[in-house]
Amino acid sequence: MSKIHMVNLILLFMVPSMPKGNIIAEVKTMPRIKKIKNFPCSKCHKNKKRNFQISLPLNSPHNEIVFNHMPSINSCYQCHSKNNIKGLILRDGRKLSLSNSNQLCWQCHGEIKNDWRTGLHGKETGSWLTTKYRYSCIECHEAHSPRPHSMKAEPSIQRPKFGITKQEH
Amino acid sequence: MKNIDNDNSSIPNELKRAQRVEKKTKQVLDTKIERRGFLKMAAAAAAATLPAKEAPAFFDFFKKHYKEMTPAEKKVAIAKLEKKLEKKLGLDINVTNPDPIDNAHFVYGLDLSKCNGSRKCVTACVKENNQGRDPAIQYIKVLEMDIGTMNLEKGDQYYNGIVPKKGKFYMPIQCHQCDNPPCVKSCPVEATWKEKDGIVVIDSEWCIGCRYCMAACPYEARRFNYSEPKIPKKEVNTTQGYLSNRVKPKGVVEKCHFCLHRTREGKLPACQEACPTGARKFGNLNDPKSDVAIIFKKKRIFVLKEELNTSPRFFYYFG
Repeated sequence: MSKIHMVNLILLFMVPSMPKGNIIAEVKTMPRIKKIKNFPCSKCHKNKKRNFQISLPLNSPHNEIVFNHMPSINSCYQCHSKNNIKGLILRDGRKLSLSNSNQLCWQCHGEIKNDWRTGLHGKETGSWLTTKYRYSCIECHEAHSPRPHSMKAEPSIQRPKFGITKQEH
Repeated sequence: MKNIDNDNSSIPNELKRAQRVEKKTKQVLDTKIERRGFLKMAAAAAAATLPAKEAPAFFDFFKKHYKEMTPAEKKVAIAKLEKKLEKKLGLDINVTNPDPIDNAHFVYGLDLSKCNGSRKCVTACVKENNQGRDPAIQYIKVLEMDIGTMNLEKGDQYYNGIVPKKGKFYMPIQCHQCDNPPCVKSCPVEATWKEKDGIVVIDSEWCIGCRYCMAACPYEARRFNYSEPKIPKKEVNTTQGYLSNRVKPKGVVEKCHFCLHRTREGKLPACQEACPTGARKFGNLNDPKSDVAIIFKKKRIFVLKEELNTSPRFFYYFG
């Protein structure tokens, strides 16, 4: 065996190479709480026992909220916990933190749950090789009016000109 | 006076050059002359006579093809390219050249029911891949078509305004990285080829700009630099891949390469990271748990122009 081969062999063992079998990525849910604008709620809501306004539209800074979801829901407390405003509540009475809000959606949207878990539905960032971050439902669907909103398209390229116009001639 | 001084100083240099040429020619005459060997010697002799300033261009001309380079030669070529780009752009540039991954089988899925035609992928791609802004070169072409039709010729790529529009759907088209690529077959100088992991790449150092590949591609995925690409200095992406997103010279062809400088290091392509709806899915088909593998099993997928037998790695589906 020549010297070059020896060096190559040594290098092979020293350098951490790609795994030989199938490469499998790990998936994590994107952390959500840091992105909520006015979190924690105790910033403004210092008195826990205060009666909160129930009917829409809410006062500022929550005046952006427009409810356009399921028509049969008529109370905020079907999803938000009455006693603990920074928590959510499931239909069976279990409490939920804001970062686990996916489970609240899955009470009704079971099919999407399966699609989301296997990665067919929803946006992903990160790495296909090591860890992927999957966005939770309310990153894209605003919780109170979840229908995907329309947006302005980025400008297109210019339509090519063919020939000369009269003014240019 | 100055002129005369300069003339005097240049004479010994010329003498030296003449001596060098003599030496080389003696060597040539002494050795057995074969055609190839003779050409090499002649080239070396010419190199000795060339002034130092023109030497880099000369070595560029006699450079080996990328596939024939040894790893050491590749390193030299990358370093040279780095210097060249730094001189051209006036920025600190890091040229990378990641090797293809052995076990990966890259595929790209696009959910047509989710795409809303916002062209976020296009702008992200332009930024990532240092494409010229004027005239604009975009790897991704988004076609707006009537719902219920699939006539690519009637697709409109010049739409603007609020999307999605009523009664329309949007179909982004980019390079399909075919397994049986017609563009590769048509290249007369082998400046484009298929890598181990399935990505079709272009060596823009080797491309002669004949545009045969553009004519051969059934997906119209290739773009040509008709002029020197104009990029604002602030927006230049300074990590540039040798075969992917380096700033291109005038007169070469470029196209989508699945962001190979990102994906070979484990990242996702820039267009997927930018997509606001999650319509784009990139992954490794060899990994049975990856989303693309599951889409292959569960959803009804289709590829464009299947009858041409190009077997693309880019597929569409309705999620």
